[in-house]
Amino acid sequence: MKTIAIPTFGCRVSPRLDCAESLLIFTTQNEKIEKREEIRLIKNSPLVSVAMLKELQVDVLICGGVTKTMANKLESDELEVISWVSGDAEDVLGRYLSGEKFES
Amino acid sequence: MEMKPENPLSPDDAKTILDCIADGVFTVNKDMRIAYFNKTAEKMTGIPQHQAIGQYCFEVLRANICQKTCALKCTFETGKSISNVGVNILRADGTEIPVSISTAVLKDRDGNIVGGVESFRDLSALEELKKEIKRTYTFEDIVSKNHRILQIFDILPNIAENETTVLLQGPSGTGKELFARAIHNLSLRKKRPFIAVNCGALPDTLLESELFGYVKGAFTDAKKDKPGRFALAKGGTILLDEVDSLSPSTQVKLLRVIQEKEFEPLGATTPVKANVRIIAATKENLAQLVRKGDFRDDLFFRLNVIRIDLPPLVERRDDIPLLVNHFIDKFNRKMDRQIERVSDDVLALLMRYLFPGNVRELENIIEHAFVMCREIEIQLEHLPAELLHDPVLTELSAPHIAIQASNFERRKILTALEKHGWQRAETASALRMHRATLWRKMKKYGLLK
Repeated sequence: MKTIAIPTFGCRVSPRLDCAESLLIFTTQNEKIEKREEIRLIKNSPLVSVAMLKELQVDVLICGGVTKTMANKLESDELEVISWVSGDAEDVLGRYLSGEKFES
Repeated sequence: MEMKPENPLSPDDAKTILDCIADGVFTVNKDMRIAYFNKTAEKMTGIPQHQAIGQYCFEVLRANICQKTCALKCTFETGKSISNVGVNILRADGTEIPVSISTAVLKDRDGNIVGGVESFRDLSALEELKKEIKRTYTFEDIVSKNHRILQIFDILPNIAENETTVLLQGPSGTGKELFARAIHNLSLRKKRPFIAVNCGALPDTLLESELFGYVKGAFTDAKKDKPGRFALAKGGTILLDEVDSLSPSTQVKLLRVIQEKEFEPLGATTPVKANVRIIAATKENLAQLVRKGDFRDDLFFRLNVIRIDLPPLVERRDDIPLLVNHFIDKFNRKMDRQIERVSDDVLALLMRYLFPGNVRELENIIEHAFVMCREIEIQLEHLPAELLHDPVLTELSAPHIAIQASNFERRKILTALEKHGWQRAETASALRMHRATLWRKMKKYGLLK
């Protein structure tokens, strides 16, 4: 079981993690999506934080651009961060689940 | 007769020219995909031209407004150009750069909009300069460019170097404790404690034991020795705020501390040496209290060796924009937020307000706005209601402000209702207000279908 979070802007991966409109949370098992949830984010407030991701028990964060400060905050042994990804969020998830390696 | 240029520019010439200018420039088609990207844009974003072309502009520029109030989209919708809007973009290396952006539409020969152009100018140097200016106007934790405060900044190091008692006079919220801390931090005592005591917050009997401490057995509940604030401040500085509220008996004891450099804890038989610098603060005019017989003249003369009079904020209005930015920075750090500024209307209102609570009140107003604001710019609607309805502001100087705030709210609610097909539950949720509140406001603004 793996929980993957993708901050989004419309249907695309949010170009900036700190400006995301919502967060898609996928629970996967054996590379298959078992559950899909969407969390609306309050703009310009605590944003996507490590604490929030921990609370949601996220294992992997796939996101767009990340500021250096935020990148430092996200560094954690318990969280895999794949940043600077762009594209349709569901496609990106599909590519990740099929084993594609993303260049950060 | 109109002369036509003999040699109009070719597209290649235009590209060469655009590659030579110091601003980043790109064009997009109507799908917001980049069609042209100049050399400066490459340099500023860190994304090569060949990678940028064909991409969505928001995935290349990554500006903090892209997802909310895209300037190009606004230009497409209104047909109007936008000039010099301050935003920040995220470079490919994770660095944020402050830029000002300008947009315009591109039309074909028949006048149909076929795309848009956006230019962006690097403001990093300007922002650095602003920071430098801010550093110039910041002394310890005090921010000011007002000439009266700057004069105090000038003499503060000299005051700090000496051991003399200082009297800080100024209305509530003018920063007396900040100045006291600054004096302490600039003095040789800076590594020793700074203790602040509000003399008006405790009844006289408690204040005495709080200041001077007591020894075991001094009274029924005194099971062991308790050091007072003077003992805790040993080697450092003690701030006696609201010194005017000291009772006559405590005034005598304080006079002794200043004159003899010693004090006696309650119940003690021998005096204790007081190695403490005393700074007294009051919002009253201590000289007047002496004249009325409410404060000992001998203590006043001992405290009043050096007096600093802090002006109310209304007498240093030129500091308001600087202080607003200072508090925005402070709360951004404290609350992990990214608010950038207050709107022109908000600043205009603050410049007219009388601030009975002085700088502290301004700080509270900005803190309130931080809680209410979910955008990058603080608007009138984010300010405390009592401020918007302040009689001085609404009746005497700015009658339009309260109306404007109401109009703004009405427009916001109407837009949300239309967006959500007049479904009250969805609209209330989108506006983050209770359904009953939405209903009440709809009735108030005549928004009933």
